[in-house]
Amino acid sequence: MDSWEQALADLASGRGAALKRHAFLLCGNDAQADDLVQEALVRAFTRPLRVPQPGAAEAYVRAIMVNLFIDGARRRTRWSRVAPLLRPADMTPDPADQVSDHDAMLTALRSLSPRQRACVVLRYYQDLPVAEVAAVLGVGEGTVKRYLSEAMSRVAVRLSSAESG
Amino acid sequence: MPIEERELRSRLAESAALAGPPRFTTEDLAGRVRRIRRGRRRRAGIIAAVSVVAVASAVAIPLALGGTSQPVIGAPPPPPPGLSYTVTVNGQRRAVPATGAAQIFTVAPGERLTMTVEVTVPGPRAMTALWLGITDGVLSGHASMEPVLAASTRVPLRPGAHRFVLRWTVPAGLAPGSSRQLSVEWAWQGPEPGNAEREVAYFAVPLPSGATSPAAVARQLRTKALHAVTICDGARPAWIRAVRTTFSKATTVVGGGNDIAGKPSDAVYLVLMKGDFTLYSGGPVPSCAQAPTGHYFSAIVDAATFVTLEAGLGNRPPPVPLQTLGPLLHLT
Repeated sequence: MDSWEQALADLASGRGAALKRHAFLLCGNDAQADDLVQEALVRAFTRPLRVPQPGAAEAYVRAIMVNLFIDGARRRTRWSRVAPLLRPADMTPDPADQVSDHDAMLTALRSLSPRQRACVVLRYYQDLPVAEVAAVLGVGEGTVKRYLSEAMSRVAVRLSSAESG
Repeated sequence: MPIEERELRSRLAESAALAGPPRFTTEDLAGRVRRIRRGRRRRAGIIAAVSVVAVASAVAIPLALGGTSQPVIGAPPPPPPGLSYTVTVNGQRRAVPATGAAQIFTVAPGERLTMTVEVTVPGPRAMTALWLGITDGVLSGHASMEPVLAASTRVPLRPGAHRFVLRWTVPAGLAPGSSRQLSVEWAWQGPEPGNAEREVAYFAVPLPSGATSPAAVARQLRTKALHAVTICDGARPAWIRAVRTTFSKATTVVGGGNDIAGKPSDAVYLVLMKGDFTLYSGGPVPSCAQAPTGHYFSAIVDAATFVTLEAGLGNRPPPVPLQTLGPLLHLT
């Protein structure tokens, strides 16, 4: 087995669930979270020069996930205009999504923009300092602070209204 | 009402726990990575045809830019069994030798093509599989063919000539200045089994006469150049310049002439970019070697079809200044 295969196997089997949870907070959807983790792992390991030392591989994959999520959200915005026309009429909801649909925190996260959401997940779930969040997203620290402030206000309002209603 | 950070962290952790277990397997992931890596390796190592999308392959077989092009990475793999082709499209017959250039056919959007492809297997080895299909600039096995027009996977192709009749309709929406390729993937067994792929023909939609205003040309060339830049790790060029000349003069300046067939008198644009380019996408690089780098990136683009005929990477500018060939177009 090549070294990259071993590193991929270690990461996918040992940290796959953790990566999935991270992706789930970003997407708010179980199937999309699976896709996001897989795509990030594949991208990380198909570019040998970019795969860092094993210890940093997980952080690298998480960074790829965040950027894929933001790029994907951008594309989905364009798609959303025609998506309803393509959707089959008798779609059966995924049981995992039925659970997540009723989670107030996930509902609050869905109300955020993709960048705000990524900031919240990186800062408060992954516990990255603001400077590192800024580095992952390729924006300034001030921008991250602004996103976080806006996101916190919106999440607070959503949670509050969910709990009172 | 503000929310405390501690509460937010706790609620995020609770929500994250709602995620189901991963539904992917390590084997699936490794398989996907392996396929992509294999595709890139083949593209870097053996493919001679160049498009702007697959400019990587051109740099793996570097052109001489003032004799300073980067050496190809690592030790070359053993050469694949070279198949030769004769491609006939709507009555136009062109030969594509095993190590020769892909051929360009001009087509119209929506045109129905009938192609006859004669594949000659030189022997002594039989080919265990062969696919012919249409690609859009990226070669990554027959999975990247859309559609696969012919597949021979059950009975080995023995040494000798084999004939395939293919039919394909050029997409009605294929824009002028764009192209698709007829590509081949083939596999063999033996002491050193393997597979390989290449492009054998380009189907290019030319720009309509009258739509070749200097502004339109500049826009097309700039788009192609910037697309090539994204392959070179997104390095931002300091400048992009182009000049209209002939194929023979362009190859005299930057070398090449082996990737896609061009007649000496064909009108082309020679595009030159300056920047810091690193060709990570050219394929996996052995740990003992470095990815090809260079400060000058060149491309020879057919003036009628805007197919990229050649591309190269080097550290020094071409020995002949571009402005000696004609008026310069500044694309940055």
